[in-house]
Amino acid sequence: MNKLMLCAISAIFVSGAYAEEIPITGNVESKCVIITDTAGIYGNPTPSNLSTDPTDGGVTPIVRYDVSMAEYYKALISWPDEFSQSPQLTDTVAFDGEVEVDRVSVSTMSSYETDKIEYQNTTEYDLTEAGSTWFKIESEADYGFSKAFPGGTYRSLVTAECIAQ
Amino acid sequence: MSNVLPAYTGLQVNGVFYRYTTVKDPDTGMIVTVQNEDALNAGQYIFREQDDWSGLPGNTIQKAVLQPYVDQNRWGDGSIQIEGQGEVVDASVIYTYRYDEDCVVSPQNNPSCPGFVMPEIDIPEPTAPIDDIIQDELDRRRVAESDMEQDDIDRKKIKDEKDNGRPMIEVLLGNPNTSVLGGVSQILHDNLVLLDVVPPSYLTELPSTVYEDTITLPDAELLDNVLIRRANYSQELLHERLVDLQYQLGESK
Repeated sequence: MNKLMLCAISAIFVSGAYAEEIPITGNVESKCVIITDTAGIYGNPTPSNLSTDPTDGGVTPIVRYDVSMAEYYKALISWPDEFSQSPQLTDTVAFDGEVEVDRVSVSTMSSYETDKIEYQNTTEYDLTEAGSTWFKIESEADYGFSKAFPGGTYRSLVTAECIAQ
Repeated sequence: MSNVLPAYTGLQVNGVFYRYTTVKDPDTGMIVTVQNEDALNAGQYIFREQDDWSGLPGNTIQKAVLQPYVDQNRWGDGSIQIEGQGEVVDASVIYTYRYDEDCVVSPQNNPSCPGFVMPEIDIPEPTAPIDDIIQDELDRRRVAESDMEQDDIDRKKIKDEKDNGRPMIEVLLGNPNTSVLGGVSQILHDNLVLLDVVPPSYLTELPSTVYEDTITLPDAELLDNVLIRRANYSQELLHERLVDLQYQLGESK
């Protein structure tokens, strides 16, 4: 009786070995590429102010979005709200900024600027056209109540994201 | 375009990059056309790109349009044309091009250069009909081959005659050597005999004698032993059986 039971169990195991797991792999290349066109530089028009505005001696950073498929992506660009590197600061820093379409490769992209959505320090664009779009990001920082920034190097970061819709 | 593109031979335009800013009311219609006339075909354009700004706010556009290496002489005057209401400011058009330095020096440096002229080679015209020329050439070759064969035959004949009239060198050299060798050997032999060095038996001649056979064996019969006889008998039986077999086969038919 024991021998019969063993035979039955082994048969079940053999029939169970026919199951296979077949892997499927795939690579997806992004159809949205973000490229830094121009790195920004803070100008220091007054002791308490740092600005990327060219009239203030700064350089406005520009980022380029290359989209090969229309209406699939959103551009999320955030102007900085803190320094990533700075001397020791003892007072508050008020950040402000603005993101605008600088150049387009297709005329219909000109509507991006009117259709953009702004919240907090982030600006959102629907990339409804295929092609390249240049965005300029203005950044400004005021220290305390007209207080002079301590000497040193100040760095901040602009965040540019391409989100699939 | 002669004042825009350098006057290099073989220059080809492979791209146009333009940039301009439109100033307009978003509600108005405006079409901006950047174009170049086709210098070889009047009324046509070698490059023409339109941007429709109708219903859109003004902005800066930057566009790159690749060209399939169009020859320089095709590029006519360029212009930016505006249809509708609006204004174009800060416009710039940049042409990218390529050229082969060898072609700039001389179009004859490379067959791929525009303006290359295949050099002409002077081949003299035949004075006689071509068939006559071919026949003359064949005759000339035939005569030359015949002369060569005759020369070979004559050369072989002369060689054979020379070989027949010339005595063999080994014969010529052999006779005097044999006589000289014989004389020297005779002198040496005589000296050895005088010196009594040679054993006398060497100088004694043996008599010419015939030694006949003296032993004779009587004829006798050597009988086979039992084994040999048995083997012979069995072979004889086998032979007879085989001989009889052919008749039996004939009867069965």
